[in-house]
Amino acid sequence: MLSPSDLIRRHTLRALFLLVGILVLTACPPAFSGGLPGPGLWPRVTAGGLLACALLLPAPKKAEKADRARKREAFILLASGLLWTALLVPAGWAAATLLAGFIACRGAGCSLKECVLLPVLLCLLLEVGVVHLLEWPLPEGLLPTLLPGN
Amino acid sequence: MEELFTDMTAFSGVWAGLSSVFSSPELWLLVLVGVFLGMTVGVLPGFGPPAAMALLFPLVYVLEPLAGISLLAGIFYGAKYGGAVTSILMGIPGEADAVATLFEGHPLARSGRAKEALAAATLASFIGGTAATLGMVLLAPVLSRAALFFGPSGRAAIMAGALFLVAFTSPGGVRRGLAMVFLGLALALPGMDPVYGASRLTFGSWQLSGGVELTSLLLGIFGIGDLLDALLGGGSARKDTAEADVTPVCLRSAGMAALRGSVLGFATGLVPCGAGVTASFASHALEKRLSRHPERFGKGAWEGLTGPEASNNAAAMASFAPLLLLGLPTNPIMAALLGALTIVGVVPGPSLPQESPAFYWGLIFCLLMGNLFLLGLGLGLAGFWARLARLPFRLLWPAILLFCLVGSYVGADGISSPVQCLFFGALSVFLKRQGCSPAPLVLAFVLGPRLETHLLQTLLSGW
Repeated sequence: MLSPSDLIRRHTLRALFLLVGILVLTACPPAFSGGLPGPGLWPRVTAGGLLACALLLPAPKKAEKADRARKREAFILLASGLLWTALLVPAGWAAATLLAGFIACRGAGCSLKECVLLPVLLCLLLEVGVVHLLEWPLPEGLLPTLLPGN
Repeated sequence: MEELFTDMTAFSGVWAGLSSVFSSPELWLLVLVGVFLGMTVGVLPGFGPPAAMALLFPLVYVLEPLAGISLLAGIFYGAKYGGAVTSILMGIPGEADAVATLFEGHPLARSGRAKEALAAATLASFIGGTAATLGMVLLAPVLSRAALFFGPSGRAAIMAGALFLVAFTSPGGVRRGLAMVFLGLALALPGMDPVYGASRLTFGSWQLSGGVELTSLLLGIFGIGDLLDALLGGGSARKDTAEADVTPVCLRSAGMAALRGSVLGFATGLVPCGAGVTASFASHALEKRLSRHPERFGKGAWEGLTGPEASNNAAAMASFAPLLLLGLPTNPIMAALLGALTIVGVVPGPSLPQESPAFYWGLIFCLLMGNLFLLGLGLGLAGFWARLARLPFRLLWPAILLFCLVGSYVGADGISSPVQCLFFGALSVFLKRQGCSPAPLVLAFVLGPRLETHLLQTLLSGW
């Protein structure tokens, strides 16, 4: 008898393929337009393949379980990434990088000094390399409005 | 058939390529920078060539076509070499190609011959890369003329065949490989349909009207995905390596092994079937079979190190031929390069050497130049790579995470791209945990719209 967690683990991928297949089938345009193959034909072929895969996929092998500390690090990585994305436009790239970088460094187990120095170093790298050298536009956010003269 | 081998018009653009390389010294600098950056990222523990390529992919947006593609090519084989460094010094292969290097390289490093092992791997990579590039030059007229025989139906068949071959040889097994192919094709569906220009599967969202961003997909799967996988799998685990003690290397047998590996790698690099892995394992097996002392294999045999390393690099270089002359990527990195070619406005195909001789031959010369830089940097900075490979993982991952996010933002110029990047990172880890390799997904994502175009053209012409 399989435990509920094993059951979920065995069938998540199949469910994902089934869901994506159904989504593509229901949302794509008609397969034929004016009697000719139309823009919906290829999505239907793809959806058919996805549904077939959902039926034929083998159950996954038992994966090695990551311990809590590793899971926590992975979670902090994703969370700091989301924080950077959320802060980028309102607060600007520098503030977002400093804050998300600090949290990511803390989650990675860096010392307080490393947690401060690494994001600052990254900001300097981005300022020199991305903003000045490559001239890629990064959102300034609130930073320019707070500087004197603006 | 004889005509195929005697037609020399394909070489008529050599001069244009030479002049485009020699008239711009900044191109030399870019190739050098590309190789150095590729080596640097490739040496970082847990990161292979796809991650290096993905991290530095957005650079292609600001450069000229030849400069951008040469830079990415430099990053690619620089990172390949970086994988050999981590395999030899730490026993951590950046990707599957470098596993065969680990069999002999790591025991050599542990027995105190780390520097010689690194030098031998560098020389073997150089031999393999150079031999394959020269082979590619000789094969160009044959491939480009042969490719002219294919119409839309032939191209669709070749692309579908390539996807099936990749699915059948992917590490997770046939069914999982096929599932990844279909998932990749599904991810390429949202946005404009490539034949009619009609909007589909956007669900009314303007962020999806441009489709899924290639930069975000690459950075998500190979950047953040690899990072998460290394975190969950304990990528920071290290093994101590012994310091080098200089002793003479068995040059002759190692050199012959490198030459054999080059031929094997070149042949397999032309076929879409996980060429690097196949070539390096086949070369290791071949050397063991040919050796008079097969018992030394697994304990630090020089032939077992140089053969796979040369074949691995030769396969990497050879895979440029189907990409440039057939528009057929044979691995996910070549799929990324195909995306980059599209971004810079170069159309790969059999007529590329005639239509853009400066680009095609310029790239060939840049590949040769990059190999020379690889040799210089690999031999000259062996100590630096060894130190870099020992950087603590806790300092690396916050930096890499932020570089991935910045890269995805500037690559697609929109806030939805970092979100896509994080999503694909999480998806990649989930798929890997389920036993699926995301490589066929990336290949299918890039080839999907082309396959659809050729298939619909075929159907419409015969309707």
